[in-house]
Order: sequence, then C-alpha cells, then structure tokens
Amino acid sequence: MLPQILLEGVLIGGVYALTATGLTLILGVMRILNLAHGHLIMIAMYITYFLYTLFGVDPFLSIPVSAILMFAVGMTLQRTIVKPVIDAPVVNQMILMMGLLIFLENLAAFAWTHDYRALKGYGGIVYEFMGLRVVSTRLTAFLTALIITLTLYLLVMKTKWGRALRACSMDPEAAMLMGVNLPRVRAEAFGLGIALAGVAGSLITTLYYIFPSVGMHYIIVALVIVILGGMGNIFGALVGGIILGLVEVLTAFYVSSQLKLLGIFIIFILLLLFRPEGLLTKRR
Amino acid sequence: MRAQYYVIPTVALLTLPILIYHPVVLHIFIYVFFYAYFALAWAILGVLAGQLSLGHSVFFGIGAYTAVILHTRYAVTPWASMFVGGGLAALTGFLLGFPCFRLKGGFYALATLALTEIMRLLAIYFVDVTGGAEGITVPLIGESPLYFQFTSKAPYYYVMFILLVVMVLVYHKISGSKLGYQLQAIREDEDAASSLGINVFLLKLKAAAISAFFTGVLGVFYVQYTRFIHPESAFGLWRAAEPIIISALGGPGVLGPLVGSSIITPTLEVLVITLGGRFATVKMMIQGAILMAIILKMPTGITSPLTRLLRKTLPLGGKKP
Repeated sequence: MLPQILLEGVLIGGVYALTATGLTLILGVMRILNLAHGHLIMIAMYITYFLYTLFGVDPFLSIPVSAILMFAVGMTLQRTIVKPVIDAPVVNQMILMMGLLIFLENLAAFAWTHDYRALKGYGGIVYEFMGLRVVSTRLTAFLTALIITLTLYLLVMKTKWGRALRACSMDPEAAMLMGVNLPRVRAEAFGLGIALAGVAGSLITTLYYIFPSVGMHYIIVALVIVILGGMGNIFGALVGGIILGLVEVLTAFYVSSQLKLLGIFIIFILLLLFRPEGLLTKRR
Repeated sequence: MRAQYYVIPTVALLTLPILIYHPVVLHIFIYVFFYAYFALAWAILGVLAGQLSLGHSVFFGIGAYTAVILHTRYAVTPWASMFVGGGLAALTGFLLGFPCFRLKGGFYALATLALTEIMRLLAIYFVDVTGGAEGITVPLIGESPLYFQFTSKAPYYYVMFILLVVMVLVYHKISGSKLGYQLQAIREDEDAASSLGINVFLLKLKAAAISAFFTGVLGVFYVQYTRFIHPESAFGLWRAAEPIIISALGGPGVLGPLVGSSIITPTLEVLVITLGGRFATVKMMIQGAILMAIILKMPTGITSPLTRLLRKTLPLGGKKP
C-alpha cells in the first residue's frame, strides 16, 4: 500500500511544483508575492472545466488556451494593479493581493456558485506495473508538468531573455544600465508567471474538484514550496513540490483526506523554525 | 486633543438607544462599533508594530468557538469566556509568532493566512466539538444577563459600546507608552531598533498576544449577538479581511478605524439588508475591490485628507490634534 501512496504523492507533487514555479518567478523578478496565485489557478480551472463541458475539449488540449488567456489576465493585472505598487511597502503589496484574492473568489462564487464541480465522465486508463497502479491522466499530468518546468528552466537559464530576467532579479538598476528594458521584462515575467498558473489550473482539473475557494489550498501549497525550494529557484520548486505531494498523500492516508493541508502547514512551521532559507540554499 | 471632542460624541452615543430604538438602526450602530473595535485590535499589531496579519479571523474564531463550546457543554457564562477565549487567542497569537517573528519579512502574514484556512478545516472536521460545517447555535434562554443574552438590541449596543471604549483607551494608552514607541521603532527599522537595545522578537510577540486577546474577546461578543457560529463566519477569508479593510480605509491612529468603520459598515450593512442573501458574494467582491482601490488610490487612508478638508471648510481652528 505504501509504495502506491508514495507514487501518488510524487505524481501530484509534479503538478504542485508547477503551481509554485509561476509564484517563484514573479517573486524573483518583481519582488512581489502574488497571494492571489492560487485563485488565478482556480480561474484557469474554471476555464478548463467550461471548455470541457461546453465544447468537449480535453483538459490537456486546453492547456494552450488557458495559458494564453491567463497570460492576458496576467498582463492586464500587471498593468492595472501590480505596476503601481512595485515600489510600495510590502505591507501594501500584500493587502492589495489579499484584495485581489477576495475579489476573485467571490467573483467565481457569484458567477458559478459555490458548488463543487468535476469533469464528468473524464477518466484515464489504469496501468498496472509491478503491483503499482497508475491512472493515465495522473501520469500525463505529471509528465506535462515536468516538461513545462524543464522548458521554463531552460528558458530562464539558457536564453538571452532568461539572462535579462535573471539580471533584473539580481540587480534591477544594474540590469537597466546594461540596456535591459526593465518594465517590459517585469511585465513579461508576470504574464508568464500567471500563464504558468493557467497551465497548472488545467492540469489540476484532472486531479481534483473545482470550486471557488479551492484557490486557498493551492496558494498555501505554492507558498510552502517556494520557501522549501528557495525563492526564485525553479529546480527547488520541483523538489519542494514532490516533497509536499508526498506529505499531502501521507497526511490524507494516515490522518484524514479533509486535513491534508494540516501536514503541509506543519512543514511550513518546521521550515520557519529550522530552515527558513529553504532546504537547498547553503547556509551562510 | 481637547475633551469636548470625546465627551460630546460619547454622551450622544450613550443616549442614542433611548431616543431611537429601531432595531435596524441599533444593529447598524452595533456593527459600526464592532468593526471599529476589530480594526483597532488588528492595528495594535498591524499598524503600531507594522506586522501584517492576514488572518486575524483565527483569533476571532477561537474566541467565538470557545464561548459557545464552554456555554453548551459546561454551562460557563460567556462573560467568563471572554477571558478564556481571549486568553486562548492570545496564546495562539504568541505561539504562531514564535516561528515567524525571528525572521524578517511577511512570514507572520503568510502564517496567519494559512492558519485561518487550517482552523476552518479543523472546525469542519471535528464535528462532535464544533458542529462541523453546519456550525453551532447558542441555545436560546431568553432575557438572561448572566448568560449574556438579551431580547432587545439595546443591551448589546451598550456592551459593544463599552468594549469599543475600552479598546480605544487601550490603543491610546499603548501608542503613547514606552511599548508603543518601541513598536513604532520596530516598524520603521528593525535593525536600528535592535541596535538600540529593543528586544524586537519579544515585543512583536507581546503585540501579537495583546492584539489577539482583544480579537478573541470580540469573537465572544459576536457569537452572543448572532447566537450562531460556523467555520465560514469564524475563519472565512472575508472575516480575515474585515479589519484590514477598515484600518486601511480609515488610516492610522485611533481615529482611523473609527472613521473607516463609520463610512464602510453602514454602507455595506444597508446594502445587505436591502438586497438580501444573494448579495453576500457581491458584498465580498466589493470588499476586495475596495481593498485594492485604497492601496492604489489612497494608501494612507481617508482620515488625513478628510480632516484636512474639514479643517479647511469648518472654522475648527486650533493646532493638530
């Protein structure tokens, strides 16, 4: 039984990593903690849900659609509310994001009610492998998340744009002096971060229910992953995601599936107590 | 500030229930006091010490659940629960601060935000104790001052008014005391404060515990007034956002939350009363939008531009209060 649970944890963890990459990208480049990240994932989940129920689009095929739509949402948000507070005190930024989060949750509740929804009639084939069972949709979700995380890693580490991005996150002023268009790179990074939330949202619809307050779960998960993996660290997000995936399934199995966030919260407190700089960061 | 600024409104508010006893009017006034108190309690930590809490609903809910559980199971009077609930809330605030306050940055904000969701899940999970998602009702025993239950609104009005007066005095006292100045020093620059010999960690914990205590007491009042609590009304996000909205709109100082609550509470309450339950989600959408608008357009709050305007138009004279 235990290997089966651990496998589930790793598969979910891959998708969780993706929720955190967008958050850590925005945090690294813009120094803004996007508290509404989970709720933007929730919006993407509804996009995927309606594409499936109304037009029969497979959730995996709706990834480009939700990514592009969420990129547009991200660019709009960045232009209207994020840009003005980029130099504001952290407290103001957090309150603003809290406002956005509450707005989005209740917008969704108003438009689509509080009902739990799931993709009706959508399921995968079950593979058996050495006594372990794997649902094909979970495997596909995991692999998709892995490929996208890897692509993002290469984009950030190997391309010219990625170098500009890293320069902006290390020293915005120096980057500007070197001819990097700082506002533009920041805007694109924010858009990309939200697009990643869109991808994550599409993948999560195949795993879990869709309802307005589901965003809280994913923002907590993503925050703890970012702390675990270190800020701005994409590889760290992957490791952190898999750790939290494991913690979650183990809590769900040994305690209760209703309290799976409790395990994650305990990890959060332990991290703050003993390794606030993250697991992968070297101690100074 | 001169005495008449305090005395005249206090006397006016004390006589109000005698002059106007319409329940809706009293209800709105109770909520104006309620939210002003909530914002002031939040501001001890959030504004004075500059430590943002995004989940003061944790402390509120602990107070509320403590009162109702002690009442229904052990017949403890809610008056005593005010201290028990407040104490438990303070303990939670203290314990949660322990891992967060040694670190710089908004970890306390994240921890409170996460904890309020955890508390909501726990309240749903432990059905036997909390009544689960359905919530728990305070048994109706009619007019009973001993058990903090009244058939009319006026007694609740006076209780909430007294609580608010106490809160205002506490806030005023703290902000003028050594503790208040030390907290302000921490808010402005932690390193500088620490180099002056201020025990930053301990004082942040102290502020968190005081703030949480008064929030817990408010939770007890709430559950006695509405006679009902469920996970959503105790630990919901909107509950967490309420003191932040009032405080951000009103601005700093004792006056800020009072002005903020006087503006926003009647507006929202009247909207809810006239438009009904379906409006609940729209109300919260508006609250979210207000929060964003304040930060973008009026980050210092409404009070200082408002007083400037008043000073220009009215011949109030005098120096700054």
